[in-house]
Amino acid sequence: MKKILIRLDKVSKAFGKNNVIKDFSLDVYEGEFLTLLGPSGCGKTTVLRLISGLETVTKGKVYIDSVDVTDIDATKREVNTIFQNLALFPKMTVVENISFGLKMKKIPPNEINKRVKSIIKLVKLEGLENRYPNELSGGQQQRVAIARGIIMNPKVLLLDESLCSLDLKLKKSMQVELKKIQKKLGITFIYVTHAQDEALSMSDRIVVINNGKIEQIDSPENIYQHPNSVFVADFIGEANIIDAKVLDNKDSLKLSYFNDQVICINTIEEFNIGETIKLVIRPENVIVSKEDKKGILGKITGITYEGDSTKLSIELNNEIMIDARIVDKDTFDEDDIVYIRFSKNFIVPLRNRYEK
Amino acid sequence: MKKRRLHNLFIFLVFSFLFLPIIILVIYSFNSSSMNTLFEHFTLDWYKNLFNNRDLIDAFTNTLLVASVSTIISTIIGTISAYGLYKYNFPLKNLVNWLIYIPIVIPEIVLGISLLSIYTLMKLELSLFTIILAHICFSIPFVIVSVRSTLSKEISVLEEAAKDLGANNYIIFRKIILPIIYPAMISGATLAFTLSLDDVVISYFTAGPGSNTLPLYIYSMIKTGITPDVNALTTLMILLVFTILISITIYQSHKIRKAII
Repeated sequence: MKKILIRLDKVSKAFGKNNVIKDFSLDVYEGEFLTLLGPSGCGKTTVLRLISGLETVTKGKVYIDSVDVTDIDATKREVNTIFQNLALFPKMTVVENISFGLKMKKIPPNEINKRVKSIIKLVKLEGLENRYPNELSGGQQQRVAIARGIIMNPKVLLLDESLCSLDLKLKKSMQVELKKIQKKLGITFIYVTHAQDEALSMSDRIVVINNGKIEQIDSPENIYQHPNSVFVADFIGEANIIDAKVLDNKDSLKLSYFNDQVICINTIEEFNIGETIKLVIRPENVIVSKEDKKGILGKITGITYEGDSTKLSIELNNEIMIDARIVDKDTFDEDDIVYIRFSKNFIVPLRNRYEK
Repeated sequence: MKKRRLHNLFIFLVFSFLFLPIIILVIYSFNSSSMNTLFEHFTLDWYKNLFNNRDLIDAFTNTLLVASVSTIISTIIGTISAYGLYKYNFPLKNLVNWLIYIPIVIPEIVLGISLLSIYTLMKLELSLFTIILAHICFSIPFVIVSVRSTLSKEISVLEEAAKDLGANNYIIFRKIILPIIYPAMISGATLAFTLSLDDVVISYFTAGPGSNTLPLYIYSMIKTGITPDVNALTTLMILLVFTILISITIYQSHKIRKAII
């Protein structure tokens, strides 16, 4: 049984009349890398600020390490934040920035020196100790910000879209480094992002948030392969979402879709006969072929080359558009007539509840 | 080539327009004639005279005293006000923000008269103290406006970061905010100091007997004729101002160079 380090208990936060977070409950375990993922304005940063104490809850309780910290100030909570724009102190050198928090804690100077030295080594900032933030590159600034947070030995490190401002290559290497640092120190990380690729590659668990509410909490694999709502399926990765009708629910789920197609799939969730549901199919699970006449007839209307793969837009004869991802692009041309099938193990049936 | 010459001529004219009066004043401070019309021959008599003119020296020290005290106090009050206006929200904040500009735009004479009537109402005896009070009053808005311009959204994030690392409000102000607003405080203070140094109108209304400032002293000489020892004194003041300005410039360019390297 893993230890719960942070517990949000039915937390709500309103700014004026605007309810940003509603009845939000979340447990964060010790040592995990948890990502809060959602579109901009969904309230994920607010959740982070409620944990750090920079924002106070309107309703509910916040616990850190089983202690109720709901009324405790940010200065006294044992969590630290790495801010979106890093917020390095411009008039202080790298060392002064990193040691700031320890000085506030009145740690003896020789211990501060020791810890600063080892942290600077950890984040590879040797030789830059006396530079000012504006004399550093983006990646170096990033590392100063991380060092400034982890030197405090916080129970939890909160990262607010901290990698967003970096270019792709730097971002990738920072992702790896972050993950390494997290593993090495065993600190719990809560990472906020709207970038699903970051969330999928770094997290132990992902919390998908929409409109101030949790949509799904699960491992990256399950979030991607077994989304529990149309929103999650659509937000994480790409998805074809089609309507289907339940014909039979005895051993396996027998469904009809596109009027004339019938498929049987295995699922744990139970559906009623006659219910209209949604099917989620990832583009890479659409099998496209020119010969297999058993498939559904369609015409390729667009080809998008994406480097490692190619995306085909296929228009079926009922005017429904289906996206397919293939590796070998040379086989197909625009306006080709093709047959498509869905690999049956990767079809996710969803209840229709999130329809607007 | 021709364009370039015209260019230089223009610069020359502008600078002559700006500096000719000052240069003439400096020249006449070495003039042996007591009339400011003809240059007879070189002398340092007026400088010697200067140190024997009790009234003039008194007026000069009064001016320096008023300017220094009012600058220090208005810089402190102005900085705190600017920080408060940036940090806290309260009803009618916009009105307050707007009212700050009133002392800047209002004619000096109106401010002078209104201060005089307040002093009379409060039965305050006019003295150096009342002049200092008046100068603090018109200097504060300049400091506020100058300091406020450096307090942006980014600073509130820095405050949060410091808070997150366990800093209390005093340390946040002392270690994070102050280093950032410091240059604006200096420029606000410089402005306040200069305004106080050459103020005639407001000082005229708020000065009591025996609390003459240099601008008032010179102004009162208009009736009897301005003596060249005033020229000598102003020459010394110009020298002082130039020294201050040059050292500030050298200090800042040194800092900028340090920041770049």
